[in-house]
Amino acid sequence: MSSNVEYMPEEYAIETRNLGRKFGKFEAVKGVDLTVPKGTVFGLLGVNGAGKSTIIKMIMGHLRPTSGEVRILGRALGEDLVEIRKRVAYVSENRYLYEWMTVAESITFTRAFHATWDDRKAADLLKRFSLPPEKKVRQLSRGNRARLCLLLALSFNPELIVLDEPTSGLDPIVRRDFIENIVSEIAEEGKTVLFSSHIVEEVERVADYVGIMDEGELLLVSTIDEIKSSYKRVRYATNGTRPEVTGVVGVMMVENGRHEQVLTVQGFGDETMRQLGERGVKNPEVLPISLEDIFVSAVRAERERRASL
Amino acid sequence: MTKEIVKAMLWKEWRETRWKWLAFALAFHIPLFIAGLTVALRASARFDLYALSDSVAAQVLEVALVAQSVFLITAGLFLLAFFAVGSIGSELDNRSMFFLFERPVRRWQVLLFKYAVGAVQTTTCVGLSILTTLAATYLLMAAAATNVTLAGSWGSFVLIISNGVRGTVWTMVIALMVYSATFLFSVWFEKWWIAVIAGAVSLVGMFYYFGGNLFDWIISAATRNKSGDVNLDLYGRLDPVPILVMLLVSAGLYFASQYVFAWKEMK
Repeated sequence: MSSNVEYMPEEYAIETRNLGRKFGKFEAVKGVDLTVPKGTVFGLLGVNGAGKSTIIKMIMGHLRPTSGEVRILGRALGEDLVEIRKRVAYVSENRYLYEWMTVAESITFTRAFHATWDDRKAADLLKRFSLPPEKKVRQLSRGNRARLCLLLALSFNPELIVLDEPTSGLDPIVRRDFIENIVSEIAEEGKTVLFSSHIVEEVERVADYVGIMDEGELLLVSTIDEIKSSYKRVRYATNGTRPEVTGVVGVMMVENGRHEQVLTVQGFGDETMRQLGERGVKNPEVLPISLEDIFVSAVRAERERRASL
Repeated sequence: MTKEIVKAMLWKEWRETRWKWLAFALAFHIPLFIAGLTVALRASARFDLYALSDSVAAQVLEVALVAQSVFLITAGLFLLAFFAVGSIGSELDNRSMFFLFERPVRRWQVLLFKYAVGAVQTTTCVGLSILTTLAATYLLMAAAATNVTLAGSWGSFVLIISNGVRGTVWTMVIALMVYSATFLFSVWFEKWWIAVIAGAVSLVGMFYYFGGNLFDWIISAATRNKSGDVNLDLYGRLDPVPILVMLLVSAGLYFASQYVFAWKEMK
């Protein structure tokens, strides 16, 4: 893992050390060190199969790690999972619910498990999400299922909310409402949110921190702002001859156009410009970079590195 | 587990299994339904019923007891295996069980709850079916037969129902063991049909080890004594050793289920 951020060490909602998981010979998660500071929104970004859900399931105690350890809200996961679950809400990607229950029955049933259940909050969310109380879960749309799961997760006032691909299968309108309004509101209440997604835009919209995963490895962790200030795209005209830039410090990806080259550079600064100048690059233009560009660059660079081994 | 959680879990189990429980209870009275249909559809059977007397009523009750017992330890136990698989297998198969895993409740408590509710449902259905069959037969004869009265055949009914009560204990213990075996397989394999096959295999195995004795009891029950009555002494004897063995086997199967369940992951 590469981290560009100095965390306050005593303020972690989630800490993993060398967390790994194998399924037979397949290594789904490889020695991940992840720290999620309290009161932040952390977006775990990666393509499908990157290992996001596996990490989340290990964090929630649903999968046993083959290596490493997990601490949630200061407690080791093995200490007392029940005590941890009193303070942590989890909405899995598959949104497990009892299909035969009505919305109202699901709420009443879940209420029994949580001493900190807030009836007023549940009623408010029910109204806000426009969930029909008498409708059976099996009759709900995907969006309403997601909303019901969120209602059940939020109504007992958890300190940490873990959402695994919370927007998968939702239409763009519901997805945007979910990300922009709901997650933001949770964060405003000072709660910690860890959510996984393969949609860069979602993470960019709402996360304070982003962790980029690929093939079981955590490639990058930082705040969105720091990532954007640290990574740049540099474009220049090639005029027929392409300068050799592979050795330039921080160059992660080179995109070749017909008459130009575009570099994605990590840790961009004066040294980068100096080295480019030494290689004959003239009049380079520094461009802002989107999180999507950084994500693609980080993943491609890592895959190229692995392929070269 | 708080009182609220227990109430909520009981409510869930009741809502999930109430119709299945009813169907199961009815299915365990198949011999009675067959007898009822025979009487309804065949004039000769109706004639025999009308002609019954108090002295013959005792023999009819004995036959009802033996027939119900044979049904229970043969087809009945296979029915039970199907029911037992459904008690947890479907929830694991469709993964709705994971809803509970996300709650602050211990896994072993969830499993104990499911096991206990299913065990009570199955064993009561199996055990009580003997008593209800005898009671229904007794009332049917008293209502339909010209020479059978409630008071006149009361002595025979009490004698046979007392044997039936002991038979109920036997069948409940056997049912608990079969239920526990099938429960273990349904926790282990998740896919309900694999668990059914495994349950059926375990049932065959159970008959291999216990079957000789079971059939001995039934055959002895059907053996006529010198006075021409069915001898129910052996059937009604509560032998503590096999009962204890079967209870221990059931407990072992339950703890094995807990062990398998504790290692189950939410992949």
